[in-house]
Amino acid sequence: MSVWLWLLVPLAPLLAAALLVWCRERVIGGLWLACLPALLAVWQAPAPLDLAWVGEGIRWGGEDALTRAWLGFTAVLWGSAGVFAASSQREDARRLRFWCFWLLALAGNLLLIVAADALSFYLGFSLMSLSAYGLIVHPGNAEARRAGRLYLQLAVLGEMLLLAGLMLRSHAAGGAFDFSTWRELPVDGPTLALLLVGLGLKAGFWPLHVWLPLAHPVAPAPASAVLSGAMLKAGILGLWRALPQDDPLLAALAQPLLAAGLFGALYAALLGLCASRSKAVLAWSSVSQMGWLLMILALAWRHPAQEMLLVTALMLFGVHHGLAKGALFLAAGMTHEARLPNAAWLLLALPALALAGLPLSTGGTAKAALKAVWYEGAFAAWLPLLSLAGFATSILLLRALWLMRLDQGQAPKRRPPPAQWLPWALLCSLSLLLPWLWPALRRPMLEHLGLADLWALLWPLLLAVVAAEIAVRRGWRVPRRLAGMRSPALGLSLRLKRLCTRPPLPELTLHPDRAGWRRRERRWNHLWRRDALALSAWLMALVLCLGWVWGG
Amino acid sequence: MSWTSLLPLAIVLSSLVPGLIIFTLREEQQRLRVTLNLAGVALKVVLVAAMLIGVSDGLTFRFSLPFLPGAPLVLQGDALSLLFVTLSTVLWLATTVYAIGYLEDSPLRSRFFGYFSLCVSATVGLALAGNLVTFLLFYELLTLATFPLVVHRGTPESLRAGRVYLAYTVGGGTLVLMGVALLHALAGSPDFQPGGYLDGLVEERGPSLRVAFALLVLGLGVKAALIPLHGWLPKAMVAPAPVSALLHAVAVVKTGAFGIVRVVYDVYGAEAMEALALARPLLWLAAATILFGSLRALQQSELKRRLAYSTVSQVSYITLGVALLGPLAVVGGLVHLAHQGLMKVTLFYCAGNFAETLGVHRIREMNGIGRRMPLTMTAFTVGALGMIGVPPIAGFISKWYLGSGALEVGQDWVLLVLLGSALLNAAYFLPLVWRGWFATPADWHADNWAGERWETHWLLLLPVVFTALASVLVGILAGTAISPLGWARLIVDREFPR
Amino acid sequence: MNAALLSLFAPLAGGLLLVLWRPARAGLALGVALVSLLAAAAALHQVADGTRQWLEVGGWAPPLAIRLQLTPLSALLLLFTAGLHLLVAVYAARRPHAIGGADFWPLACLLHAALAALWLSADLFNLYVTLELLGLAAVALVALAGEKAQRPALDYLLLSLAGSLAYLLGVAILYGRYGVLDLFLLGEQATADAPTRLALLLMTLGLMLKGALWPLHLWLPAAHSSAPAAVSALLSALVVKGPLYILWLLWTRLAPTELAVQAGPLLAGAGALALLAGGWAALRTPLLKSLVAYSTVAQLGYALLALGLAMHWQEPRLEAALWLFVVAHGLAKVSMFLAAGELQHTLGGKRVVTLKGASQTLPVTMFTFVTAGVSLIGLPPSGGFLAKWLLLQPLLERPQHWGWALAVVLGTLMSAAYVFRVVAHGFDRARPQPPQVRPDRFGQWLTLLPALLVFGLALIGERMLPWLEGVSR
Repeated sequence: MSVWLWLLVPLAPLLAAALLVWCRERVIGGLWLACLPALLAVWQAPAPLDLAWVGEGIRWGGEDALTRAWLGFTAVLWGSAGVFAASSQREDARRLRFWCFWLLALAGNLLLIVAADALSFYLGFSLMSLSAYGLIVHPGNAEARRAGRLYLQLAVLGEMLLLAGLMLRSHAAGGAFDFSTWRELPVDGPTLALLLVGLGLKAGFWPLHVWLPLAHPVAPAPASAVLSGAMLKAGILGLWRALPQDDPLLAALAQPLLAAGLFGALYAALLGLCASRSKAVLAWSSVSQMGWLLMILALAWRHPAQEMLLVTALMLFGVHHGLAKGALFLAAGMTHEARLPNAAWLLLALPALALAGLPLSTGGTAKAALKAVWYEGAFAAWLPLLSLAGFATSILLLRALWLMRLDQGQAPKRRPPPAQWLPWALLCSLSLLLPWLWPALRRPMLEHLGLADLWALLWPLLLAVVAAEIAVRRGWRVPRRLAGMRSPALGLSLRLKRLCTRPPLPELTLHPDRAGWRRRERRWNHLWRRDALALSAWLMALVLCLGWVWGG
Repeated sequence: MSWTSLLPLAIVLSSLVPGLIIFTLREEQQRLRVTLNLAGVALKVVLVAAMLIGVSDGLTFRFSLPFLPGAPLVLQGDALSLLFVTLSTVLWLATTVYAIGYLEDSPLRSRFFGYFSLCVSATVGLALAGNLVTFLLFYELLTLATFPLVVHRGTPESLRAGRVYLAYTVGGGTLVLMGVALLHALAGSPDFQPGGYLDGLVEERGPSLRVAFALLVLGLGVKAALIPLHGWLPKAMVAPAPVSALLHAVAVVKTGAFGIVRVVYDVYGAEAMEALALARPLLWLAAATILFGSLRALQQSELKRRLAYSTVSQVSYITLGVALLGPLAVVGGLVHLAHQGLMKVTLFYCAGNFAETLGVHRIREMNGIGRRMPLTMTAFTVGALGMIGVPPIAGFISKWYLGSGALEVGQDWVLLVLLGSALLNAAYFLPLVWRGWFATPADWHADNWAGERWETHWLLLLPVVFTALASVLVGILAGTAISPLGWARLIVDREFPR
Repeated sequence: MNAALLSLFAPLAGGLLLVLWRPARAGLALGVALVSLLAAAAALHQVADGTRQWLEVGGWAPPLAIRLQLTPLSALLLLFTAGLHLLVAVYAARRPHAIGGADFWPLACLLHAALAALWLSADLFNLYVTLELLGLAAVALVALAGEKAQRPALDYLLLSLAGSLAYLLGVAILYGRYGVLDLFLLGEQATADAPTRLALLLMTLGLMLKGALWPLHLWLPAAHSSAPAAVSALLSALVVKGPLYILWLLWTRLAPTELAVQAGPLLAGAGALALLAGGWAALRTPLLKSLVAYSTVAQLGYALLALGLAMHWQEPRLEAALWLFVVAHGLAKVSMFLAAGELQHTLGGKRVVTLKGASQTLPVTMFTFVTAGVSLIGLPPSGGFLAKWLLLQPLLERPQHWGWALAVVLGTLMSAAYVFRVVAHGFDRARPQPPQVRPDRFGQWLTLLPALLVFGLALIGERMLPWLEGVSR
């Protein structure tokens, strides 16, 4: 019986959506419950569900730690954000539309995690991507429309590329499309390129991030939280699932990918510093963190032998970033709308510090676990750069906190309602509590409690604090030219839209001279009609003469 | 005459006879007309269901009547014809309901429904046709029966469209006639058979066979709207919405595509196609049409015209699948026959609903329409996303099989065509969806439909919801035996053994 | 043979009676046509298995005798003539506006008799006599339309006389050369020398002029379109087929094979051009009946094409196609002319544009027009389609003959264009209020009958086609 729980995981949000359409506003308060089956599945871990009657090879569910962890944090994040949104979108005139898209995106997100085959994954992926558009453009202002347009253009492009990649992969597998087969199957160049770009556009690591810093800040806060916290990870998960464990091509590509991830982590942090809104800074931070995840993937492809350790690192990092980023985005929303008590600021600092790599937090533990593996591998010499990236992340998050603090000045003087701060506090505290609650985190945390480890984690953070302090003291501001920088991608997106509405196709039209032809025709008809008799006689005579010649 | 031989005839007659009776009815005999229509539909549904069961059990249904020397009129039910017959029947059912609601108070309903039934009879006859001569007969009948529907409004614009329609289709019909006559002169007109019947002639009459193929494909290509023969389709949009829906989903464009399937697989056969090197040009033509149709669709500012060009593009998926000559691709092509029908009919119903309820014809008038007509807009979204190929809607299944089929036979470039077309589809459908749901509404939203139970006439709403649901369901349940995909696989297993 | 003679003499006697005594006109004409029809059916029944019957008039043996022959083909044509006459007579009795006066009845009977005699004749002079009689009766019928038809009737008369003269000249040359007039005896003796060539040329030209075969068709559109509807129907459906029959006899029975092979492409070329020129003219003319008349010119092109190619390739299938064209065209054209007359009379205008909205006001008549038109275009399953199918088969068998098939394609497209030109007007709803018309139901359905018969041909097509191939050999 519990096998059917897998079916309920993605279907619960859809059922909730049906309920929403039927009962309208009354059920909004309880919509967060749609995440419960997922949590139940994490807890119960039933055997996978074989859906061969729907299509051969379709399987939902997974017992492995990665799936469960991913599903768990996704459900927690969506659930908390759902409770938050029920309160924060209360006054929204178009809240029904918001919730429809919310639930559809949730269903897609859950489905792609529980999918054990590419078709279900793709179904969840596209459902999530397209529905997320509804969340991004929900505010309806020009900025949201622009960002949404770019998002949608790239999402559709990414989906198409992904589909092509999946088809090629399925073809290589002889028509099979379950991930377990694919994990054993070597990949070829075009397929890899298609999958990397297709899924990378969703994951938003450099250089495929262009839509992310624009789209995430414009959405309502809970939507940004799930966009950044949960949905981005779909790309990484997809890459992990669809590509083989041990493949020479991937191993050869690991180094450039690692470099790209590292560069992305630094570059995004730099650009993020120039942003002037807290949510934009957080979005850039997501780009930077996706660079980290890409690095983990690259390491895993380079060192297939250490896969177990790296998959743990991936899992830890994913969970950590999802929860922490979700908490921060919710906080960014709250600081805009209400005044937080000072104790809350302490709580707010937690996810930020966790992202910066504070020891004993989720982030510190995940980073420590990653560094341990890294140290063993072929790229040990790059470790200082990693610390640099850690510094960059730290300073970026400090900036985000600073901007939130500034936001408080403008916020209306009221306390946030409990329906908002409770889920938020849950997410914040998880950054610190999770290492103690979750065995998978507890072990690496305890392993890396040595002084050297702690120092390695702490010094970039401390350095960042010092640097931030200096910056604040000196009153450094972002130069205006950098702050006012617009993403060139927006311009391109607009031009693409214009091109699409007016494609340069020539219209073929003929303009015959109707009157002239008519005149000629009349003259011709007149000629023949005038004297049927004589003409016939002449014709006969002519033919007779010809016949005479022929006969003679 | 046993029942197996009379059943195909009965299926054709079940719409023909009510149609002929309807012609004689007076305008005001509304109830009788509706009864006749629905009785015909119901009877046809029952008969088709019986035949479906029979064919899946391996029975053969064949009716024959002497006609030309060596070429009798043959109606036969095989798996392929039943795919099309079932599609026509289901969509006829939906469209009849829709048309009853759509034309509730307009003049000349008897004439309309008469020709409507005639049109469906021709389509079904064409699907059941057992040899080329029979096919030709119903092909021409279809041309004649659809013309009055296209010009039904009788306005100068619709007459112009009707003339263009006739010019194209009669021209195409003549080409088909020549092709059929040429093949008859070469090989007689035996029944369609899997693998074709021309293998013996490939050696000595190769050039003639090529010419015959060109004639047939060009002739059928007019109805299948292959470029450069597609010009009539966007113009024919002036017809009333149920007609456009039926023209686009089943009656006309599909018959062309279905004919191409028949010619390629049951007349020539894959081997002869390969020996004569005929598949490649057809493939290129289909690919070019797919991209061209989508590009043209982008340019249109009128909703129905955009949908029309989208049809140009989408119908060629079928031809593409057929021309790839691989089992998976054929499954993709065949299943698209049904899938595209469902989705396109949904879109046209929606366009009709918008036009009928709010007078919305142009794309920029669609702003915020989702708030006023949420159900219709949802159905429209389903259809549009399905056209793009978003799972789990039917279109995705077709695209997956077409792509896999192309890879299977080593034509990887086709994948690019499919993706390019999907991107273009997205480029011209998503703005509509955006307008419907997200754009700022125009002022007519002030009068919402508080007084009414539904957003529009329930007879207009019912078919929309039905076909939209069907397009999602056939996608989700594609893996089951009763879905179009299951049936297409059966056809490929049974008819094209490789 | 006696039945065939009855079929010939009944209209002759009826015509004479009508001229002399003028009894109840319509009734007598109807009775005569009915008797003739029954007799023709009996005659066809006698010879349907392919036998041939001869009658030596006066009991003299050839070469002195005047012979009448009854072949399956002539029996079929007898039946066809009588049937169409009966139908037109019924229609004319019901709709007096379509005949232009009481003189129609004797003239129609004489026309019928002349045609019947023509189908039965087997020697050149006898054929000349029937041809002359036919021409005169036809001219007189055209003149029934009154003042406006005078000029066309006169043209017709003069050209008809010229045609007869040319034919007679040819007959004289042949008689001078061979000393016999019997077709079959001539056929045995004829050689391809200069007098024979000249005679054949003269006779062919004369017959083409009388049969309005392109390019000597110039009199036809004016004559046929100005005549009363029933007369136009008879002229287009039957009268022009008489000279065609003689032409066929000449070139397949009399002319030496080598001459026939040489002349075939010329005739076929003329036929192909007739298809195009006639079709184009029909497409462009603003008048409804003129459109139908030009369509006759075009459709005769098919027959001429079939005849020419049959001569050139000595192919019996094409001769069968020729006769099928004749029958299908006759039936369809009767319907079409009567429908055109009905439309013109009811809607009160000669132009094609007056048909706007006719599909609402006169649905049955419009349907008749379309049905007949569909057969003229040659869409399945009509008789026109059968004929075209039969014509196409030999054309398509060899790639080097495909040029002729192209002509057929173009002809088909042209005919579709002019038929649908009318149809499209019928669906115009420019005038929302249709004029108050009360169509005559019986007349309407009667005009539909021959058009339906053309489609009925499809039902017996499988047996009829081989039979026709057999009998026209």
